[in-house]
Amino acid sequence: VALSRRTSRSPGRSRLTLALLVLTSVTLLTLDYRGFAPIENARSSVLGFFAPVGDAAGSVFEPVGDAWRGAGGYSELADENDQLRQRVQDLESQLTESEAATRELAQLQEQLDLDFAGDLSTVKARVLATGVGNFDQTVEIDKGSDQGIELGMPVVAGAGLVGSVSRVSSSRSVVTLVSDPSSQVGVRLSGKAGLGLVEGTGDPRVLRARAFDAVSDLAEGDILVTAGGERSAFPPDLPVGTVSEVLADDLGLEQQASVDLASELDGLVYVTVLQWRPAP
Amino acid sequence: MALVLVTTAALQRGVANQLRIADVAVDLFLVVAVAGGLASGPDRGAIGGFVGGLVMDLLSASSLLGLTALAWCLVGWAVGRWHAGVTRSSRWVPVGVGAVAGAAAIPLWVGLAFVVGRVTGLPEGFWPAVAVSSVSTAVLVLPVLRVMRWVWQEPIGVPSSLR
Repeated sequence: VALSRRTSRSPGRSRLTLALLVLTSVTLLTLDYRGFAPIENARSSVLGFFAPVGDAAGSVFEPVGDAWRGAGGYSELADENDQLRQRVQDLESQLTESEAATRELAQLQEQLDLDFAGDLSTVKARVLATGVGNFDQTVEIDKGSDQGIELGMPVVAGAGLVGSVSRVSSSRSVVTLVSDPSSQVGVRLSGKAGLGLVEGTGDPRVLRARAFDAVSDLAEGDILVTAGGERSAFPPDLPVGTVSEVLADDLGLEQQASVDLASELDGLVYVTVLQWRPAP
Repeated sequence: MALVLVTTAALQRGVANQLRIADVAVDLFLVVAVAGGLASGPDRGAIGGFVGGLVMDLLSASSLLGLTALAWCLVGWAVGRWHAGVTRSSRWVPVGVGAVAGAAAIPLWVGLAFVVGRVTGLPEGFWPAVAVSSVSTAVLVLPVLRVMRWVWQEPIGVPSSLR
């Protein structure tokens, strides 16, 4: 028995085990990369299976989590409180201007056609959790296929595009945020000519715009909205963000820009799923 | 082992995600991989890391299936391989190994994610993730080590090289 145990842990055997596991991992990676359907089904099943378990544990530990965050971020909260007090004072002084500003905003929205939900059917959903991995740019919402949510449907919050549905179970869905490095959205400049792409950077506040024609009049402050069009994954005219900096391109073939996201992805509580499907 | 994995998955989703440190969630499956390597050597360290990473990949929407499995499998194997050469053990060895493995695991994952095109550079929150992973793995490895030894019926307190 002692000999067999020793043999079973020999370096040669452990290398063989490692090689088999590495090979299996690479095979799974390749299959998932190519969109192998059973893997998606397995993920949806896992999402459905752990939803009640995770919710139960989450509800038990949520108060502890809140206390933990409060204790950890005391100085941040104090700073935020000071900033909010200052903000209240500013807002009070601006109150008299609010009616005019509201009228102006309504006109601007009308001109820019930013009533983005339009006639589309929508599903309101609550954000239950952020992604499990530390570099996940996803959120889990409390609605699934039973409520009419399907893979690929666009998700918006009050200010604009948030992401799209990347996994669905009967009562839960996972939304991949536009800030995910794998995310690409076709966009156009609002109010003037110019088409391009925005990509996630992993930063929940900033996107990178690229592939704008070199002759596009891309400028700081420009608003980017989804371009829509044939085979687009998103309907047209969903606000995406505002150009914060136009970046130089060495070759001068295209224009790139840094884009501040319209929606605030940190601390999302409610989102709206647009029941829109791309044309086949 | 299945019970350990299901419990870990529930704790990961329900607890570790809630109790974030510097916006970083502790990766309990990484701790399982490291403890597996320490408890039973490279074979079981690699298997524990692979299976745990696979569950993590299934729970995560944006990771490719097999990415975390590969990374944690390599970590579990390396820890087991290193620990197999240790003839004297003390309470602090697992803690030190946990700290180093926890810190090394994040760059390894990011490196593999870069190779398969999941990240394009150092992701936001990389350094806090390295720090939290190192500290949390060091802190949690001892209790998880006891669980892993119980699961695999290994004697407690004896280095794997001497069994």
